[in-house]
Amino acid sequence: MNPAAILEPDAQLMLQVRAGDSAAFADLLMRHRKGIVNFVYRMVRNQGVAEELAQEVFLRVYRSRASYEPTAKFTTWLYRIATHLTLNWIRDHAKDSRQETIDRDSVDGAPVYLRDSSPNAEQTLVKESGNAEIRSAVDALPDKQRIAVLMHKYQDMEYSQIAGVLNCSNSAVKSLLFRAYESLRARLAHLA
Amino acid sequence: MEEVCYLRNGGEGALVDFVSGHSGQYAEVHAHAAACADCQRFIAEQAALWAALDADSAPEVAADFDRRLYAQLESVDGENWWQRTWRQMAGSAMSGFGRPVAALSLAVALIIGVAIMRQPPTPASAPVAADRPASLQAVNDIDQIEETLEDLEMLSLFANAPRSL
Repeated sequence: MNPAAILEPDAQLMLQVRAGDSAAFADLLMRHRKGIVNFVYRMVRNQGVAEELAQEVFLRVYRSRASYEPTAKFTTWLYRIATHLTLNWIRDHAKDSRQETIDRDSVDGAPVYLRDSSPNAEQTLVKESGNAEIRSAVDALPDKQRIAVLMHKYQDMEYSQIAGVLNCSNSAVKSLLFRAYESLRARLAHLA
Repeated sequence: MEEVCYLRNGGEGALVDFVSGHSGQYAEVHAHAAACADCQRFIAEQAALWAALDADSAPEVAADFDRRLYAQLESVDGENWWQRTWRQMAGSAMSGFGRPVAALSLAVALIIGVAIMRQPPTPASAPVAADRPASLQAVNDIDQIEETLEDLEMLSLFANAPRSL
């Protein structure tokens, strides 16, 4: 057992969950609910889907409690589950999104944000056109680059944690981030 | 000694860290950028991107997120999540000061129960005292006084007994 992991509050809570303490699970949920939902939302751009997937993430954490060992940071494990589920969802729905894009483009040629159909989000997108362009640029990144950027920028995760989630080296993460930021800088230069 | 340019020597990561505020070599990068136009430009562009990305906000999590999750957890456990949490909380309270309090409450309830059972039944058809002869009423009063004294004597024994808790 990694002594450093024992000191990590999340790992402590997860060990309590493993021992049958449901209040500890509520604490974990409180600490990571927003982070996970927001991360998934930025991947799928649909709040309803994001919350459903986030629920599945926490369900899997709960179901796996008996076999939990604090060998790595809890957040690495948590975001690995979230990433896996989200990428699977995107792959399963990629064909639908592409078809919808073609249909919409053929009508008016306007930018299309198909992943979110909720009225509130649509209003937000109309209101914040610059924001929409940023979203579009982030969405256009390859999966690994996008995940790395979302974790680095919005989840404030260290290179080693991102590397743990993506199952690659720290230098590979730095390379992914450099290429991603380079693309984003080029695409969004006119906004500066 | 010639200063090494971060941008020309594969040190872009250090510049990104500088912008994100996670740089372990902030002072060095800052000093270098002050004299290097290329690194300065990179930092300015990255800072602009960093600020632009801040605009990509995410909606608030639905208020019933936890309720929906707990409903699913119940199907995992086959037990009501709130009931289980309550049972655990009650269990932890019982392991502390709650245990003697519960024992005391049980004892009080038993005493009250016994006292109620010991009271003689008073049926509606029972004759009232005024209907009895005066001599019989006096005998009854003496019996009641004796009974009360016996009860008091028994209670005093309990009061002087050593505490077991």
